[in-house]
Formats: sequence, structure tokens, C-alpha cells
Amino acid sequence: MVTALEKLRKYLDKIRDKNKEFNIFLELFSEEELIKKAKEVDEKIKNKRAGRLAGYFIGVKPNINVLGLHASCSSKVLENYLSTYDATVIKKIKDEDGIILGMVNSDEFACGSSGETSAFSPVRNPTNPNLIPGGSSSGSAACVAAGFCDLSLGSDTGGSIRNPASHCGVVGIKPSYASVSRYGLIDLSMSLDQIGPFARTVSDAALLLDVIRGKDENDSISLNSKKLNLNDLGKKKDFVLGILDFKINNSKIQNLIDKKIKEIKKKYNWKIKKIKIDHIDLAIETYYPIVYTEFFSGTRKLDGRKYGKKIEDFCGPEVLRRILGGAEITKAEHEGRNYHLALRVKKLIEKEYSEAFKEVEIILSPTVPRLPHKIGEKISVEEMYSYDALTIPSNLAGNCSMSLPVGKVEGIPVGIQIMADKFNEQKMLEVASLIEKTNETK
Amino acid sequence: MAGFLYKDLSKKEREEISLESKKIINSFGKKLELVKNLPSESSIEKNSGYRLEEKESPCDLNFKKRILENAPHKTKDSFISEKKSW
Repeated sequence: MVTALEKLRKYLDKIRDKNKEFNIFLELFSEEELIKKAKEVDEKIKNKRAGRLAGYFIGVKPNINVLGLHASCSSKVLENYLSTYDATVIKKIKDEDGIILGMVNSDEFACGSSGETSAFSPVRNPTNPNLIPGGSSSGSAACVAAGFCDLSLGSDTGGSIRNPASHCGVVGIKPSYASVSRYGLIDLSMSLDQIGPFARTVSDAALLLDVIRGKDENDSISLNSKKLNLNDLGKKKDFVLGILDFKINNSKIQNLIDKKIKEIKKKYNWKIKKIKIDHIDLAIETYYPIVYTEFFSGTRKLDGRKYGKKIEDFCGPEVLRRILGGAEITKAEHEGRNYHLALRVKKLIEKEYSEAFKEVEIILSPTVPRLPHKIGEKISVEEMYSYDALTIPSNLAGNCSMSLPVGKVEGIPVGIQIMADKFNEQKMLEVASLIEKTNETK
Repeated sequence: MAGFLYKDLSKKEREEISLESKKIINSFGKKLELVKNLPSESSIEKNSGYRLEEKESPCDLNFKKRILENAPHKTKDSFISEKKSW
């Protein structure tokens, strides 16, 4: 059996060898410190006192506080901000003997869908370094895909976990809203943000999710959820699946997903129905007024007095676009009209999903409707925002959803999105683990 | 067409981004206005205090200096504060 120390040395060698090429890790704990932790874990394993994450090495998105590391949010604004405490998710990981390796790169303040907006240069896709890895949890997906660590944490506001998971060919989960504590997360949009895991397999992602979920007195909206039964993953069961009625422009992606659905229907004899969400076409238009407004509000503390530098003076174009958009919406003359309108459409979409989940247990769709572009390629704002057209609805509805790799188009990994109703993570993971089995048999 | 790579922004670029963000908000707002049968406003929390556009007050550079001098634990640009240790 490989010890934690041996595993650590393997990961550190790989990071030394490849990190410059992919620009994934921004900061690591010192080698001395990591070796000490790995030896402690090995000792615990030997004495049969180890936690559930013993032997797992984990990368963290830099908008999550880890004591002793910089929570820079991949921005010059907070580049010198050293976390003074552990976020609840980090504390839970440490309690189960998981070892945090360091902070990974991301889009600046989680604003982006490509990994290009980082102030510390873009993250590169380990499956093809000329392409974007997706975002905003770009480094979190890339560090797992590149084999730099076992697991990672990201945050998902409109697809920021599932989108890079799809482009990098790894598993990424957005838990139900309020199921994972956000204490210690530097927020993008407080009514949509969730922290979630990345892994190379469904069972590893489920394990990390089970460790970090649950009520936390430091996050008043967080709720308790049922413990996940990891033993049930991979066991054949009957499910009624919904196929999202939504046309995407990339027929190759659609064909790959359709083929996979046909395959699993045949293999497991699952019932399949078409599901229509009437206002899904307005997801992007609903999402951005909410994000702009809440991001503008959340960043007012970054005025250069208490933390780092004044955000408007040091941020990049996408962060500024969102701040100025939020400033516009909240002007007294507009009375927050577009924000309130967006909140009402959000409610409507949430209701439509609730109705849909009375008919089916799971809704399937492609995770991302397009293939990743080349790093630095000029695309319109609308095109950039369209990357998240199929992931945003889950954040608006508060459901759980995840991306699972199901194949490649033009050599680029493509993921299927598996969505379940609020707090139905168990069901979602059971379906995912059965679909994953069909990938393995190829 | 926009570039999404991080860069330092000129005054002109800042103005362009400002106009662009207004355009995006207006275009999104127009589409949302067309939605029928929206849930009532009563289910949405609405606060009454809106920000008034005023002239920006100049940043007090001494404030940052003072607060950092006053802090028992600090880094170059920020202070470290724990419950009861201030």
C-alpha cells in the first residue's frame, strides 16, 4: 500500500515538473510542513486512528480561507491577504485527516467562465494547454486533471465547478444551496454561491462532499442533510430520468450526450421522459443582474482601508464590468428594479424545476453547450456568458447538480450534467456512479 | 469582441466597460420585463434603502496608516484580528 508520504513526494515531483506549464498552483505549504503532516497521517493509519480523508491531498480555490495561505481570489487586490482562519469546509477536511497542499489559480474573484481573468496569468487546460480549462474554479479542476492531487475544492455560482470539470474531464459537484457552509468563502453572489468538490471518480467526489456538508452555526442559511450512503453507489436501481428539452448549437456535443443516454437507457432499463423548463432561455438574463448587484454589494468592503487595495483600481475588465453593472442597478433612480425583476424570474424558474421533479428523479443535459476556446481568443461578452447557459438554472433553482465526463469531442473532454431536486445528492450520485461504470467498460 | 485576459485598464477602457455594462443590464432587463405570470413581489425581500449617487469622498490615506499602526498583529496591507485580542 502506498503511504501518504510516498504519495506526497509523487505529487510534489509532478507539480515541480508541470506547474509552470499549466499555471495551476499559486502557493503551496512548505515541503517541510507537508512532509510533517503526511508522516502524522501515516502514523494514524498505522494505529487505525485515521479519519476518512487520510491519504488524500487537496487543492483549494483561493476564495476559500485556509489559515496560513493567501486568500488572494487570484487578484492583485488581495495578493497580500493572508488568511487568519480556516473556512468551515477546511476545518472539516482537517478533522478527517485530509491534507491541504495549497491554493490554486482561478478567475479573479470567481468572475469568469474561462480561467483567463486571473491577475496571475490564465490557467491552462491540462488536456490541451492552448485551450481554456473553463472557470471560474479553473485551477481546482485542472489540479485534479493534471494529477497534482486527489481532490480539490471550488465554488459554484452559475457553473464554476461543473463548467471546468467538463472541459478538464473530471467530476465536479455543485451541492444543493445551503447544504455546505459558506463560512470562510469570499462571496461572489451570496444567494447563489456553493462550495463543492472535484475528483477523478464519483466515489471520491462523494466522499469529500459527505465530509464538508451539513449545518454550521457560522452560516445561518446552512441546513443539515442526510449522511450520504457511499456503499450504495454503483448498485443497480430503477430511476426515471428527464432529458432537458434545450437546443444547443454544437451538434457534436449533443450527439455524444444523446448516444450516452441511449446507452444507459438500454443497459439499466431506465425510464426516460423529455422535460421542458419554460423560462430556461432566460437563465443568463436572470442570473447576471443578481450577480452584478450582489457582487457590487459584497465588494464594498474592498475599499483599500480594511483589506488590501481598492478593488476598482486594481481589478481586471470582467470584475470591473460586474462592479459597474451592479452600481448601475443599485442607483437610487432605478430602485434596484432589474435586481428585483431577476429575483422574481428566479422564483419562477425554481418553481418550474420543482414541478419537473414531480415527474422525474433526475434531469440530464450537456454540462456546457460549447467547446472551450483558445486562451486569449477574443469572444463577445454574450458568448462568454453563454458557456453557463445550462449550469446557471441549477443555481437559480437551488438544486444539486454535477458534471461527469462521458467522452471527447475533437479530443476535448465533454461532461454530462446530472441534476436532482434540492437535497437529493444521494440519488444524483447513484445515477452518476452507474453512468461512470459505462465509461469504464469501454 | 472582448478580451478576457487580465490587464491594467486605461481610462478609455474603463469608460467603455462602464457603457458596456449598462448596455448589458438594459438588454437583460428588457427581456425580463416581457415575462408574464411572475410570482408576486411579496415573496421577494425588498429593502427600502437605496444608495444615492453622491460625489465620491476622497480616500483618507492616513486612516489606513493609523489603523495599521494601531493593530497588534498585521501584514503589509492588512491587519489580523481575533476575538478579544484587539
